[in-house]
Amino acid sequence: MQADAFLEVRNVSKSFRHGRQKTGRMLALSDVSFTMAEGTFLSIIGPSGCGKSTLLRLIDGLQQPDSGEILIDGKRVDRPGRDRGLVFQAPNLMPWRTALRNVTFGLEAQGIHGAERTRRARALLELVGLSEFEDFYPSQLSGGMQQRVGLARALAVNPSVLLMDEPFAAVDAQTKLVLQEELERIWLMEEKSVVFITHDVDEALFLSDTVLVMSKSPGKIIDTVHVDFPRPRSFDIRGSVEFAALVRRLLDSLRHRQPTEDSSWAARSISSKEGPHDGESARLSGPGNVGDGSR
Amino acid sequence: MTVSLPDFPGQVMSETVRGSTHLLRQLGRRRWFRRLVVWTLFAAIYEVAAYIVGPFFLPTIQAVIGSTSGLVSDGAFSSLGGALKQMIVGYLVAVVVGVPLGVLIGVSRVADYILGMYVKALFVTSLIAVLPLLITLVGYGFAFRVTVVLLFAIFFIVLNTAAGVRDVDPQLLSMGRSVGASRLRRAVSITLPSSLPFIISGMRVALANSFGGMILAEIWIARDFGQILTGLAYNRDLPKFMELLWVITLLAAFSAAALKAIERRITPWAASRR
Repeated sequence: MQADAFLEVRNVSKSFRHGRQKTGRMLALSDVSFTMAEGTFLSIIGPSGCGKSTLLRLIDGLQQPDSGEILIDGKRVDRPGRDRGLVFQAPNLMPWRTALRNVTFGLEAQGIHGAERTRRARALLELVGLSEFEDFYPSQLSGGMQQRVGLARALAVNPSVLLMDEPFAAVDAQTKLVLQEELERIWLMEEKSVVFITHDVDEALFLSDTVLVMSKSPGKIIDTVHVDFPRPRSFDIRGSVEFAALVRRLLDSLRHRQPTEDSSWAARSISSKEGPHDGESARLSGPGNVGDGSR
Repeated sequence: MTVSLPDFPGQVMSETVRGSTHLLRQLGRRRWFRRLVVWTLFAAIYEVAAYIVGPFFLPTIQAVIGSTSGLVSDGAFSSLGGALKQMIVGYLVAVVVGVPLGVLIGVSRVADYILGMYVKALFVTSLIAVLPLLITLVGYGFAFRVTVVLLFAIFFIVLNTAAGVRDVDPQLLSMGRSVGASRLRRAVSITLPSSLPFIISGMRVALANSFGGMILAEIWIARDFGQILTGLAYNRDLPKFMELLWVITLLAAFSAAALKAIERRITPWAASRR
């Protein structure tokens, strides 16, 4: 596996300050390592607040890890680059631009101009099935359509790795199924590597070659599952025994180290003075349940 | 007054009545028509009130309109034009200085610490109290009137622009960084259009306030237009006084409405915010 590693995450840790305390830091990612072969589809699944979005932002280069490093094709990631395209949880479209002009935005930044820019953006809108909507403003598009525009924009710079942060979390269940199949189709056509963040077990299994399971507080990879269904995958595999077995496996992994309701972020956070072993007293003196960090 | 009748079966109604109620209903949906009805009613009430209390307190509409030629020969409109020119200069200076200043305060925390408090302090200060100081600084002339308008207008522009810049969706900026857009490109392609609705509505409030500043400066220095206006009031020449007041009010209302129309036209996506 090491030999054909295209994306390599090595011992990455990342913590954030939380609240107003100057000393307390929340450990979002703790010593995360994995590798991924070129052209494969990898999902990362975990409970809300387990740091999976943070991991994706680190891979995109929007943030830097505290320790460890991330390599793509042997090159260290230190800033966003055109070899990576990020699709956000929210479509993040510019409301003052039409669908087409939202897609061209990525190309503008690369200095691609004029007819070439429009031609490429049109081709991408066609790929995501929105050719008839190029002159529509985001407010005139449905949530699923907006997310497609976001995907087209990420594809515009022709990245080798597509990073997707729960892209279908905000669309309805039916649309979600359609978008999953569309994504597989596009992925098979475009031959990209995809890192896909989700909290939906079915979605992860349906799309991926590899599923990584993360635990929360601190974020760690606790299980790796390989999924070998033939491609393109049909809707029917969701009903198969093998699929059900994998769902069970993932759910078990997820439950394994998931903290109980009363252990909040604050309880699990480490204080730089007292060290990580002091979790129990922090739990007793912590400000109670501060929620699971989901938005 | 019969505006419309319910259209239930069995109602006895001649064709012409039915036709005219239909027309009234159609017109009732038009905004201009509803406005016309309301304003006509107001005018009628005013006119009746003016006849009752007499010309010493309230001039009739007829008298107000009849005073136009007198105002023209007094040179009131040309001096109003001069005052408006000064106002426009002051307003434009406020826009040209205020928008970049607002962007700076919105973007930079340091600029906010250094400049923000002066802007906010002056914003809540009674500007009228500053006028005597201003006169000692810049005198009674053109500079004074322009400065007063500037002070009346600029804070709305600065504060609204800063608020608009701060309101930019951080996710959009993240997206900009992710696709590799430079700082400048993010500012021009994301921050600027995103804060445009704020900037324009700040400009709109500032414009309305500029009229107030203009009149205040005129009356304060009591020359040209201000002299005419106060003179008319002291001499109780109410028809002329009223007409000038109307003209100024209409100008302010129309210019604000024009800016609103421009706002709608160039920032159609922001419709939900209004």
